[in-house]
Amino acid sequence: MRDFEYCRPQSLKEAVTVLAEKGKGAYPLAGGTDILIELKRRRLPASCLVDIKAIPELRGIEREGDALRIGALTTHSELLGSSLIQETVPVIAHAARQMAFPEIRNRGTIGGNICNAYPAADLVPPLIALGSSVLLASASGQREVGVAEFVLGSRQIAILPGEVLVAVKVPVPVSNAACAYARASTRKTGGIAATSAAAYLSADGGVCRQARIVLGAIEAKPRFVAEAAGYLEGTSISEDVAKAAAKMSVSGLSPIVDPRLSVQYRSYMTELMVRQAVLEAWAEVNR
Amino acid sequence: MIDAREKVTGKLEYGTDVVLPGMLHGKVLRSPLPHARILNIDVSKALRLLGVRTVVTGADAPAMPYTVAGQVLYDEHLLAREKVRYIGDEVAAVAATDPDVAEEAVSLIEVEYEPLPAVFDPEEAMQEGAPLVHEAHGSNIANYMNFSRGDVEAAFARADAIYEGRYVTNLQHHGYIEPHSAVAEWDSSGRLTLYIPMQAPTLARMTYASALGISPERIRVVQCHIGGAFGGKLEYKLHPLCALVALKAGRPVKMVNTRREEFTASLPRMPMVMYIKVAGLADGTIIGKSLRVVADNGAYNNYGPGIMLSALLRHDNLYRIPNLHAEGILLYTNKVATGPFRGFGNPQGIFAFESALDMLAEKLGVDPVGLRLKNASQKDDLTSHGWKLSSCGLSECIRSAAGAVNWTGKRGAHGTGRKRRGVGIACCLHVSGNRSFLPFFDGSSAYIRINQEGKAKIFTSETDLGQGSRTTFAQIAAEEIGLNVEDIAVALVDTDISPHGMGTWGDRATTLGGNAIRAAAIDARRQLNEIAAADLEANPKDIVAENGRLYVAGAPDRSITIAEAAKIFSYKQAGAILTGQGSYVPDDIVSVIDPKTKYGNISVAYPYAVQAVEVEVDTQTGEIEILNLAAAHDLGRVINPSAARGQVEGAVAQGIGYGLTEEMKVENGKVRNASFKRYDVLRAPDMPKMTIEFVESNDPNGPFGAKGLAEPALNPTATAIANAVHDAIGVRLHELPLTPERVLVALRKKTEV
Amino acid sequence: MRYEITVKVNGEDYEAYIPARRTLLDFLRDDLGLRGTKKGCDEGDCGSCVVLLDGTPVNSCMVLAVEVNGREVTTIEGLAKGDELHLVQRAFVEQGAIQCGYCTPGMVLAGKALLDVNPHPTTTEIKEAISGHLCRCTGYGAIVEAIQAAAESMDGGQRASGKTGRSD
Ligand SMILES: Cc1cc2nc3c(=O)[nH]c(=O)nc-3n(C[C@H](O)[C@H](O)[C@H](O)COP(=O)(O)OP(=O)(O)OC[C@H]3O[C@@H](n4cnc5c(N)ncnc54)[C@H](O)[C@@H]3O)c2cc1C
Repeated sequence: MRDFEYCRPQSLKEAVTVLAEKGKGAYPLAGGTDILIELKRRRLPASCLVDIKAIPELRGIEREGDALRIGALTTHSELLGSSLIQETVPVIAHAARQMAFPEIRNRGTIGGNICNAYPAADLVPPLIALGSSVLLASASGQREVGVAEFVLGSRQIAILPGEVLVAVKVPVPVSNAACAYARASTRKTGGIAATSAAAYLSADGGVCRQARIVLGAIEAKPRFVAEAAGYLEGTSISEDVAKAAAKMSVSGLSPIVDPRLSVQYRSYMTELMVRQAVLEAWAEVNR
Repeated sequence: MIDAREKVTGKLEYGTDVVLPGMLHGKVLRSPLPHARILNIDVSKALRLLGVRTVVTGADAPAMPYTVAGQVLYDEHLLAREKVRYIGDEVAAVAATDPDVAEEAVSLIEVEYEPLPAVFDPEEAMQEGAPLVHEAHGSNIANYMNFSRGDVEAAFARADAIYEGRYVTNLQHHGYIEPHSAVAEWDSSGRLTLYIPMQAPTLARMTYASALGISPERIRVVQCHIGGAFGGKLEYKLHPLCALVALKAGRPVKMVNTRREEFTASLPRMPMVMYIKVAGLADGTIIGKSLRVVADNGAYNNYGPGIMLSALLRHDNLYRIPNLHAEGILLYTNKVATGPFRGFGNPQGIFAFESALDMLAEKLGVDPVGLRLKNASQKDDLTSHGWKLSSCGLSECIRSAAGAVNWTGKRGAHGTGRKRRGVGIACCLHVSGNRSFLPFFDGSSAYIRINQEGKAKIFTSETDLGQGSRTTFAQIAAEEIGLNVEDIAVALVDTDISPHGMGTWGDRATTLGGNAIRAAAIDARRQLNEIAAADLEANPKDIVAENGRLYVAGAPDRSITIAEAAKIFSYKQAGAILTGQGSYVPDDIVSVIDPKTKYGNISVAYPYAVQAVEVEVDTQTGEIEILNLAAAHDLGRVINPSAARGQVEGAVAQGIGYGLTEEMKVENGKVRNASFKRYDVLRAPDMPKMTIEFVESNDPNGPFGAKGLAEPALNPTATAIANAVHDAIGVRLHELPLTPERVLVALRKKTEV
Repeated sequence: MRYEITVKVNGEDYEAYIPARRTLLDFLRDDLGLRGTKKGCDEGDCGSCVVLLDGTPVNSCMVLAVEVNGREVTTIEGLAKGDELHLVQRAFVEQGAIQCGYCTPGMVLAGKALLDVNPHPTTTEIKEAISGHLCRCTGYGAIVEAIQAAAESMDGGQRASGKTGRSD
């Protein structure tokens, strides 16, 4: 690693001040499970790491009205272990369980997963499908942006200089709605997703009212597949309907290169993942 | 295991743990291009960095090329001279006060390259006009073999069925968890000490002497504990390169590979393209086989010819096949050089051959198990290649493995749903105590010292790679001397002290090393008996030894301890330590194989392994799940049951990886999955149910009848899976690993037909 | 840039003045000489560098030493009480769960951390707990059995309290 500075602000205010002062080369450090690899491979021009782990404002999982507020520092292990999440948005716990291994889940955070904006990030597709947003703070104030708008592409996010992601706001699905996430990898245990899909569905009288389908890992940026979602809305979802929607989801994809797998195979698997996610969400809705 | 306590407390010192006072840290600059001429190297910026002590380039390295022990193609230099031949080729090296500074310095070295056209595919490398990896060699063909037994064409002409196919195998990495490392120190007299985790210290000394252009006598190799090797820790360039850097720096230097370097520039398993043809008679007799192998050496030769030879002929000896033809073409390409890896070419050859046998069985309408049993080699056979099978539990292994997966109940019963089941089997035989590497040097020797406290120490040159051979050695010595295992230590190899020996590969350790240690123990025991007999006024022949005591047969109260006997010995000879010496030289040494025809008995013993698996194939996702795996192994005799089980389970895990998930993906010469994040090794939850059966055929040449086990346990795994997949879904997969994608493509082709 | 830190490692206090870029792994191995913690990949994939940070298993290669200022680290050297091995260590020895030994320190600590929070794990839970640890020698079977055996031999009094995964 190249040499860099380190500091550990004790409050959000202090953190945004330091980030603003240090300027371009300053990066927040959360669990470090992404950024340290970037630094070790000398791919990131960081001159200062601002360790945000002492900041109380970035912690906690709370219910705020019809949404959950998940602090940016919440680790994947905490997501997995939270009964609040299990009761309100179990898909987030399910996605967290797909990631890496216990030790990495003990360090990696939800904020880091989003800000790292790796195409295969597992929390991002379900968060987008659920209609989540991120709360950002900087020296000049706070703002809220949808996760869909925040993640711009591979390792690109709509963060402004000096901003910190404070929390993620996740709308809790109403009683006749559910979200499911499915992913495929080249190996069973702890593999990075080769393709993934999240499906959010709501129903009314056995008919799908609202559908949102988000693809992950396959393109540089998570993709909303509006056509397939539109197709599901107003139908009673069956195996065949899910299959047709899945087929639609993969038309016009421009997959990023994964040297280990062909484009055809990944498209095919994407289709399967959409189908699986849609059917699982639908089963959940009708439970 | 004799060092279990040190291991479980973190006290055992591995190569990566060695620290010397004043030691610097080295790093290598590697080529970013697959093939290029080096026009200029500017090290000035690197040298100006605070903390940098030295930078070496090709100009500082000996001009004479070198190669590994016993090979004849001198094609390597410690650092690239005029050109680089693969992405990862060593271009320069740095020593600095700390690894971060060394890394920084490497990034400051400026190299000007002129890119050259490169060749990545061995079959393209064979073509006229292909870019030459080594111009001086005049061709990309590094080695060529062609030999026959009987008359294969005549056999094909009279066959009732013939199967022909093309099979391709993958670039697999050993994935030992401890990366390569070296610590080098020169003393004031110009003598080098190398602390390295190394399977074969004596070979290291020979090879590195030639690499450094000095006499072997000036090198002392001290073997460190090895954190996994699997064939990957024989000669490795980092070791002598570290010595070169230390020489120039005038200080001890330590170098450790990063995991990325491991995946870029170590010596993974050789990929092969294999064209196979097998012929049989209606009654299931195999009458002929031909195999043409196009083997991908990568940029350097290393042990390539031996690996290719093993792929060409080892499996033939499994069966009584009179008519054989083999052709092997070993090619240079602009990719990472390949080298020895558990199985040494055998898993590749078996994939083509044992797949083809199932296809032949299908054509003949016979059961694959029946076909194998009908043709299986038997004890005392002299095979078509001149191998003498002094013990052979092959048929028993076949029956055992097939029985354990309920072969007759399950074969052909694949079901009709989305998930289909199938069973498959594959066999292997392997060498144990391979010869033919160094025609002038064979066997093994050892000595054992017993001190006045009755503690013994064994000195051997056969190393422990973590498989527990030190424990086995201690057990062998304990049994002969009459000591408890806890009273026996096994020294790490130090070429200044240990006897010369070839080291651990080719499943030599137990057979050759074990025999030598046994001989040394017998020699020590003879001396003990004489002392005891004199002391107890008995005949040496009547002395019995047990639990550290020597007593007169039938009169256990007439006894002295081994410690007392050793003390008497020492006091009578001015402090000399009682030492038993022993050597083991296989007695038919004249029959070492013919260089041209490859005919001859290559090994002192041959272990066998048969594995049968039941798989479930998901026809929608292409995923293969292993439901049950049965491994039946003829290892001669089980000396250490827990270690034997561990060997098989570990090898099977590696074999399943070879079969299903592991492949270094090389694109335009660049390894695209150079980390454990994207190179898929099996993890704990991925292991299938496994049953292990040991067949004890009691080899007359092995110590207490034992033969090797480590390598054979990997050889048949991938092929047994491929055969089971064929049973399940009726498609034959020709390429390893058997990825879901390949399964789906093959299924689609089948439905199109 | 260098920083002053104080850490408790295996019950002993240390003060050090170290560069920000030094990982906890390199700090333990190179600065403190605790080389029982192994470096296998340096990227969080192999688990051979796992230590307990305030009782929680983490990959020490994925943590900076400056981050653990004021905290408590347990390495493999801190497990045995004098000559008496920890139950998990003893089980590894007795069950033959060791071959080359390079993964062993991380595996043992993962096993201990699991039993601290889950004294009666199923085999599935054990496999999950060591899923971040690569072992290339054993095929894992004996390791899983060793952790199981340790759980069985464990009496209530021996257990310490453990935690999982909170970002410091
Ligand atoms: C072995 C291994 C396996 C992995 N497997 C998976 C996997 O299967 N799926 C997956 O999705 N990921 C995986 N990851 C990646 C990683 O663990 C996750 O993305 C994790 O969530 C990152 O969180 P972190 O807190 O460690 O991020 P850090 O590394 O601390 O930060 C990542 C980036 O986000 C920025 N950042 C972090 N927090 C904030 C914030 N609050 N505000 C502003 N910027 C911030 C940092 O500056 C940095 O640029 C794996 C990593 C490893 C090492």
